[in-house]
Amino acid sequence: MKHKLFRLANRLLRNIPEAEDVVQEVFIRLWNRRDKLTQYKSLEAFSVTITKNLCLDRLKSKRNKTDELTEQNVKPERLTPAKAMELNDSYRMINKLINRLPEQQRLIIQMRDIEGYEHAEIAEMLNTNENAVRVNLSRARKKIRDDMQKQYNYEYTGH
Amino acid sequence: MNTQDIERLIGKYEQGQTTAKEEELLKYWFSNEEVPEQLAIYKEIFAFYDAASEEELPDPEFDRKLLDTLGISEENVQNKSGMLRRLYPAFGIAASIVLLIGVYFIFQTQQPNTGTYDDPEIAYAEAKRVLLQVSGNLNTGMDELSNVKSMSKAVDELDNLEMLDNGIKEMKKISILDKSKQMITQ
Repeated sequence: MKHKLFRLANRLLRNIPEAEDVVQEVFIRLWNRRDKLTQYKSLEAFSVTITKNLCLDRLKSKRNKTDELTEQNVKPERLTPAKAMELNDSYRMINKLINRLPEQQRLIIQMRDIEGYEHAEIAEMLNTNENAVRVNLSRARKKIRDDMQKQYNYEYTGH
Repeated sequence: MNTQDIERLIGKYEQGQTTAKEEELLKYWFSNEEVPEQLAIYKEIFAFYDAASEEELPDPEFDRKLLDTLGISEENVQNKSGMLRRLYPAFGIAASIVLLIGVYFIFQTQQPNTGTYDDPEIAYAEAKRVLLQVSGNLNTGMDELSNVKSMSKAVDELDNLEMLDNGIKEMKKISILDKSKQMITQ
């Protein structure tokens, strides 16, 4: 489960040490609530929700501190081992494209296309409805396809 | 699945309307088929999603750091497992006892003649036969017991022995007389 939570945190924060930090905090919170954990239908869904909330809190406070840090202004990222193995360019390119999406779309792409959660589960974890999940998913998928297309046209038609 | 089917499914996918199963199918198709040029982008996208789901938390020290932060030192964890290790012989003994009991029961049930009957009618008949036999023997035993009556008569006769007893007491007086006679003569 720590890998799944890390992938989500890293998708949102786009920063490996910070993402690891968040995952640790999630486990600390779970530990502190260990007596009450049985009351949750799904421990995984509960953990994902905490992870998402902690990441969004961090992003919010960061935005307040440095207004100029926008979605477009992403620091160059250190590679995780899996990424280092996947040295092919398209992997890095798609990763970058997804990381430029708005938070909500990033979350939903991560949860659906990478982790494979059902629409209903995503809706519950994001505290929204299935239709909103579909709409955001559709926007994100089209945007990724368009951006990929642009990249290819740029590469093949020359500068 | 031909290319047209896939293109229709891709359309549905981009509307956010595909089910998890349909998306599995897409991933599978793009990872295995020779993909026409107009769909080449999707091959890369689906390959990316597959690889991205394998990424792991990179810090190899993560678990130890977490335990430290929670105040659960490795020592505690090791102590617990050490205690378990000390209990292993007990587990072994318990297991062998269970095994022995098990073997005993298996042999018990495997014995061909256990003196039980599967058919209730046969069991009833057999029980009746045995009971009749026992009661018959009991009756002959009772007959034998009638001799005990004559023994009781004999006990009555013994009452007469009391008179004998009295006689002996009288005799004792005579023996005293006898002793005094001896003393005198000495």
